[in-house]
Order: sequence, then C-alpha cells, then structure tokens
Amino acid sequence: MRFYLIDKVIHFEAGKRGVGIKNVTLAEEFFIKHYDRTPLMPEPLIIEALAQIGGWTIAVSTHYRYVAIMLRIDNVRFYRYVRPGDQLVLQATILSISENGSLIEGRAEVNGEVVASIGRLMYGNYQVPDHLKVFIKKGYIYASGGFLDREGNEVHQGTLRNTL
Amino acid sequence: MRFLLLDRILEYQKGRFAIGSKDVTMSEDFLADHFPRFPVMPGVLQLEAISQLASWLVFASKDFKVKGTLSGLGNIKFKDFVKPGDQLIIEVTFESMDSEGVTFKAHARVKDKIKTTMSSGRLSYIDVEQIEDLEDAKEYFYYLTGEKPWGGYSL
Repeated sequence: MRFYLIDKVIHFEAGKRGVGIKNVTLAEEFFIKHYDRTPLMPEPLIIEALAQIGGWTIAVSTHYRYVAIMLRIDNVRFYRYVRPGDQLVLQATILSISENGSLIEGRAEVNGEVVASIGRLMYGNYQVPDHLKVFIKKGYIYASGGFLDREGNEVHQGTLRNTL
Repeated sequence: MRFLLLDRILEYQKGRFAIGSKDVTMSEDFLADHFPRFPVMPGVLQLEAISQLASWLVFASKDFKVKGTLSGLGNIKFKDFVKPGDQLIIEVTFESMDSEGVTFKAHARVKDKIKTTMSSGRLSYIDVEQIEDLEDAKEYFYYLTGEKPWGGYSL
C-alpha cells in the first residue's frame, strides 16, 4: 500500500489553506479485511489524509524548510461511513505556523456532506538533514498530483498540460 | 496489505480492559513512503491498532453480536517514534458502555516507554453479521487470544 492519501491538490492559498481530493476505490488494499462483507474506509486513514494535506500546505507555504510531523490530535468526529466510489474533498485550514510547530483544523466532505472533522491537529516542525531534502521535496511534488512542477513551483491549471 | 493491525491479544477482561501486541517489521508496505529513508510507523495506524483492539473487546463483551467503529477521538498525543523491530503493546480501558457505543482510553508503549496516549475514544456498535461472517470473526478472535487454534489446526 502506498502511503500517499491525496490524489490531487485542487486549491491552495499559501499560509492559509489547502484543499485536496482523494478518490476511494474498491481496489485499495486496506479494503482487504476492512471488512469482509462491507468495505468501509478505516477512519484513521481519513485523519491521515487530512494530516497529509495539512502537512503539504505547511511545507509548501514554508518552502520545504521543515517536515511536519504529527504530535497531537484533538476533537475528532466521524459522521458517516466512507465507501468505495466516494470522492473525499479534504480541506485543511491553518490556524498558526511558527518556528516550533503548526496548528491546523480539518474537514473531510463527500458530495458536500461532512464525513469527518478534526478540531485541532498539531505538527512539530523538524529540520530535514540536507541529504534528505531532495526526497522530502519529491514526495510533496508527487503528492500534489500535478499542482507543483518538477521544481516545486505552483502550476496554474491552464499551464498544467505543458509542463507534464 | 491486509488491514489487520493486531498480532495478539495478551490479556482481556470483558467490559473492562484488553492488552494486545503488534510487531512492527521493516517489510510493512507503509514504511516505503512513511518516510523515504526514515521508516517510522504512522501515528494513525497506531490509532487503528488501538481501535481494532477496542473493537475486539466490544465483540467479546457484547456476546459476539456487535463490533465497534470509530465515531470520535480526543486528546491524542504522539510522544515518540515507533520503529521497525519494536513490539508495540497496546492497552485499552473501557470507561463506560451504553446502548449506542463505548467510551474508552488507551495507550501504546514499547517495553516501558509510552509512545502514544489517547484519553477519550468513542466506538459505535455495528452488527457483526453486516460486515463479516460471524464464525470467521469468532475464529479469528480466538486465534488472537490463543484460546483455540485457527481452523482446527494445532500448531
């Protein structure tokens, strides 16, 4: 199982918020045994998807200076099940960014209906050793689903086709 | 990857607590991306392991009729990284059970070092027959606890 839980970034405002989408398909490996008769997306993976779009937003806003690692999660609610065929729209809103850490709140929707929300998610900012920076940056570019070009710059929808 | 994040149930008492273990190995799929050249077990998968253990305890406590799915989580702290080679010991304690679900708290440790704590989790009941075959689920539960061999084989 690849541990990238965002397919595409559809909206981004530096320092404010990021919106990504995740298509949930029956071919996902986590549907094996979760569950045998009724495939339901594991709830912690929705948290992870929100944490990834939040971490992505922080990393791009701070020009990849840090890698954001989850330290605390509070006030999480799950309102309904997520099933294969659903398209999750994941929205992370930044509450604060500082040198030591960052705080976001998150909301996941399917067809405009809220399926999960996170009240507060706190990241610690870790300095990345220089020799690993290239891998970290590659990961964020990969997970942007074409929103960033190979150098990590934002791509506007009209120019996307030319850069690929 | 089979989404089973618990290897054993070491000890449990119906309606009260359960202790389970999960061995983290370098060959886990998720370690390839999390993170490149820095393999650590994702915090959310520790939460999933906690919820799976709590769900098995619901299963045992409610006479093998229902399991639990997460409906809320609060106050989770990730204190340290869990690395390949570690054996994660998970402890779940039920605080209250009602007609809708259970409220529990949990922590995960490696040896004596606490790695993750959760002070309030909430599971809602879900009918086992709706999501799984009841006999399969029971057999797997007894395999986890070591009470009966899986599929009748004695190892």
